[in-house]
Amino acid sequence: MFAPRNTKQKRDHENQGKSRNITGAATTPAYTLPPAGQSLQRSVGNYAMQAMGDKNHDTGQSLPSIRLTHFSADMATEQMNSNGSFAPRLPDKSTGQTTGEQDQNASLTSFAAEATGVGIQVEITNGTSSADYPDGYRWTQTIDTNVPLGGTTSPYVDPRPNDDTKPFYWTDAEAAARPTTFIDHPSRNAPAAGTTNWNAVLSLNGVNGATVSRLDSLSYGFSIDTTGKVTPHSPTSPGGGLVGTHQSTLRSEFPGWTFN
Amino acid sequence: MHDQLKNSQDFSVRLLWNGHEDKPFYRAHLVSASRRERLVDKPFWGNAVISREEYKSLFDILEQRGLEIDVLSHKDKFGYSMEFRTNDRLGYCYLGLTEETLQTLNLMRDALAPENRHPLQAILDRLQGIML
Repeated sequence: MFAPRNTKQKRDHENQGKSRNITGAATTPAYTLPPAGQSLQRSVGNYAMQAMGDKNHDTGQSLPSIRLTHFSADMATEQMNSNGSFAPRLPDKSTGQTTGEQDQNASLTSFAAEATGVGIQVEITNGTSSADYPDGYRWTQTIDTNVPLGGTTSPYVDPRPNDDTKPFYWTDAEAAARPTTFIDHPSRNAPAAGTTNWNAVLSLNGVNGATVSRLDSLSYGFSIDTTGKVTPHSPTSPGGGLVGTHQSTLRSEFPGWTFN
Repeated sequence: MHDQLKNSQDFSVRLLWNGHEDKPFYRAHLVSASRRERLVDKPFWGNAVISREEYKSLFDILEQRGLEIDVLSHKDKFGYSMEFRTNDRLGYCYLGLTEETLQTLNLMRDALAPENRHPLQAILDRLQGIML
């Protein structure tokens, strides 16, 4: 039986008190992960994910995951392989037959510095359907920037103002057109003074009615200075504080919804 | 310039966004059948092949609303602009981002055949609720 939440909870329990930095080393976080917090599989590239396996070894049923399909910019140079994918890293989830489980994971497929921001593309793998989430898998993104748009203050839910009545990044029509893909190209003009910072937390969620259960997250962003120089903030696994802010921002802006 | 662009049978019209974005605003590319192969499926872009009559109706709307076509691009101006391209002409019309812009985009959407309205509709859908 497909039960990603149970699988995640078991993995979270095993990993409690640990997180991993971008190079894969286990570290002690400066914050405490919430008990139900999800971690991000930092493997990047389709091939990496296929090699690691993406099935529940008990049942053979596919489980949902995130795959980021591009990342260029500075940090990517050494990690991108000849296929344009990224070298696998941080196999921080159980994949072995002995555990009998394979939970959510993520990989990067595209992240690039652009003229006045960054471009990012993320894919869900194995996220097509689940009895636990009859309304499918949907993306939420919150933004923390010192140059907020839409007459709001940071952090806020993207898009702002909303282009429908739901908390998700894609409208229903957009999600139907791109059911497994997240794409963003945030940008800011070069500031007259100081530095503009733009950071986001992106989450993959399972949806059941008005209940949105976070399954996986990543954070990314950029800075742009007065000369127009863009500094990408490489995608990484967000800490518990960022995830907590992400969730509380969603709850604040969409009080009629439940965010787990 | 305006009439030379308007009377061309081989044309390309792009609605372009310039400015800061979180979730991107949509762009549109409308072309004559002769330029069909130039349409590229990209995120946040809507594409359609339109007739010459539809194309000319876009100019009619610009004329009605007193919007002029320039030889210089408006890439440094915030908001939407239109780019008209034919074999031998290139012109730009600045739309900005105001209530008038939305009115113009609505008129242009309605001037297109129903099957070709989706690129403009996507722009308008994304802009709903925006404070102008």
